[in-house]
Amino acid sequence: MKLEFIGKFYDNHSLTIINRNIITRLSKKFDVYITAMDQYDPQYKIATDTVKVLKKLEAKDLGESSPDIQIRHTYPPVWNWPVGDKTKVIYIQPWEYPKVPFEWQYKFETFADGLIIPSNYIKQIFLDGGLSPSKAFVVPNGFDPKIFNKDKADVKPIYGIKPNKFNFLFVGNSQWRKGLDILINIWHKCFKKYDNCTLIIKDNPSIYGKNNILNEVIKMQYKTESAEVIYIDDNLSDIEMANLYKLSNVLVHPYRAEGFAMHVQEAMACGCLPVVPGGGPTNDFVPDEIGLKIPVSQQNVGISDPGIFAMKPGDAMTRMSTHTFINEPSGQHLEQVLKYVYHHHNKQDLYAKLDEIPMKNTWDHVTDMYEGVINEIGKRKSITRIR
Amino acid sequence: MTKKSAISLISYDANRFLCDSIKRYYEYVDEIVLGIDKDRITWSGNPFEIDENSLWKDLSAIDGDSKITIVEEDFHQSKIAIENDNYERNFLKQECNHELIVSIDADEMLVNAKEFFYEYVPIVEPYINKRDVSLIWSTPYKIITDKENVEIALIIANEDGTPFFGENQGFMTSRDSTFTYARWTDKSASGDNRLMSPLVALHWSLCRPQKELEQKIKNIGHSDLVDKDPFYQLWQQVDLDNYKEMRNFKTSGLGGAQWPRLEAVPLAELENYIKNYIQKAY
Repeated sequence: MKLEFIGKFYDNHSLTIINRNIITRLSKKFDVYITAMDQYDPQYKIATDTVKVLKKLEAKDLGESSPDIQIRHTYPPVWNWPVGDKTKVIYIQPWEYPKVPFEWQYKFETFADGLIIPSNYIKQIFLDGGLSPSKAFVVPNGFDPKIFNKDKADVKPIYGIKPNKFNFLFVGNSQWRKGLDILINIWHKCFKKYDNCTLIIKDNPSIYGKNNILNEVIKMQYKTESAEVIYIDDNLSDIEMANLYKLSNVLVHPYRAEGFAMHVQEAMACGCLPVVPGGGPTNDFVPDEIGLKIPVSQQNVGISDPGIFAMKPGDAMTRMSTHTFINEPSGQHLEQVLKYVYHHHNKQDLYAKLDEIPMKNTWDHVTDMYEGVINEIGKRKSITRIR
Repeated sequence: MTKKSAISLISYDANRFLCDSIKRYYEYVDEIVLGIDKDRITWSGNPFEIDENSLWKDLSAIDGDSKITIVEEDFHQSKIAIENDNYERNFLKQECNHELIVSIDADEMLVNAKEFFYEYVPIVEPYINKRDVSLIWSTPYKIITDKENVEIALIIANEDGTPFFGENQGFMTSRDSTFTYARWTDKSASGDNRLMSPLVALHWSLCRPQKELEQKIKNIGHSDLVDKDPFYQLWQQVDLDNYKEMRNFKTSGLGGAQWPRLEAVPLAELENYIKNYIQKAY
């Protein structure tokens, strides 16, 4: 079967990381061609072997032939018709908010042969928006166990992070949905200078845009005498990210809206306790038994508010009106959970629970799931696209 | 704590301001490098005179730890004032021995240097290789003696009468930076990579006797912009009877912030007035 994969492959956006890992593995199972929407850029520190595979795939030419299936994973989605009439189209489409863009629902219903969604939580949002259940497939995002594992033999001290301190790590950016503001607002209430702990914030401004986080956390430290905060905005390779996780004890991600939260899974694979809200997409891989979930309350928000950054001007959303409910993590409970973990007398009990979680979503396993979806769509009758 | 070098400039206003300025940060830095043009020519190409004997004597008196070095060089090579400004600052920076560089002008009096150097700088040190730290100006505008012979400072203030803290200037950078627009460097001149700080400086740039102000505005780094600015005409007209009429009166166009109004404060109380509201600065 000929597969054409359309998307970005060379930066560190979450979509790109998925594309890279999936396509290098799918290429061992299918006749794969890629149409790259970006170019190699050394600043993103992609492993040389991976770049070689991607370049080789990029150089392959479909010639006059058409692929049997196109897989498209981009933001925003690519709606162009495939050149060949018989080519089927599968979209991989994450989303984060309780309403999806109406254009997506309509196009996925009438144009796509299948839709791969990273979590059951987001699948339900697409279904609530009217998508046919027969089109929706949940395939989680993965992690590479060769890189993201609990082997700490080669861990290097970086950015002044002290391994003997209790390190909380946030990975994300300044977007409202990521909830960093909730964490910053409670950090100084939780821990002061004399506490032996650090909050590490790994930001990604080269992908998600410049922001004022560093000025805010410096001011917070100065005004409140909070425990140390280390801010990192460099591009890090997978190996460097794994190093960061291995220097950390807890991955804290008090998100309001997420599609999957891939870094939470990577951090858990490296031995970090996950502190995440209950009820969101992380429920697929963070069981309640870990006991560190933050309760959420439904909060009414205007989803067209530019500060929320869900819609673009001119977008319409499913399920009428522009108001929706967002799962707001409780800052008060987040404060309690962080203190609970830090002051826990027998932290090994907590880590024992982490060890019991089956970390099955390796990229190899996830690729097998992709293979299953591709074969299933391959067998189905093509949809009639509406012109 | 990382060692710090301070650079500052000796020019036409050195006798009036320089030693008082240095006293504010002397104990918090490890060396102070002062630049003076070898021909006593300003960046704008005009000659200046200072009482050098008196200045050297005053500097010696405050330099108990032998931190001060004076560098004489040709700092008026270009016909463009800002190029000379940048050149002098970069030249002085190269004379420094430490990684952290504090750049301060003679007419700036730090108000809360101790908190800045002891509490704030340790927090930001890890970031100074990629970013510059700014200070906040609080700007006295004019001193006028009232009928009771009390010196009154008219200071730029907010509508509610509190000090106006809306203007920033580059203050601390690392030695690998290059000054590209006065105290903004290649890291920060575009407006990015600036760390706000709680450091407040009383900036006496505008607040000096008329003849000295005239000299100043003809010789500053951006003196080319001053010719088109009605600031000086306005400044001459302001008195204790009409200062309340001044609203949004910044005419230079430099920086984004407007000057909302003027507040009258007895000169002797000026620093206390700033300190009372310093929490609002940051």
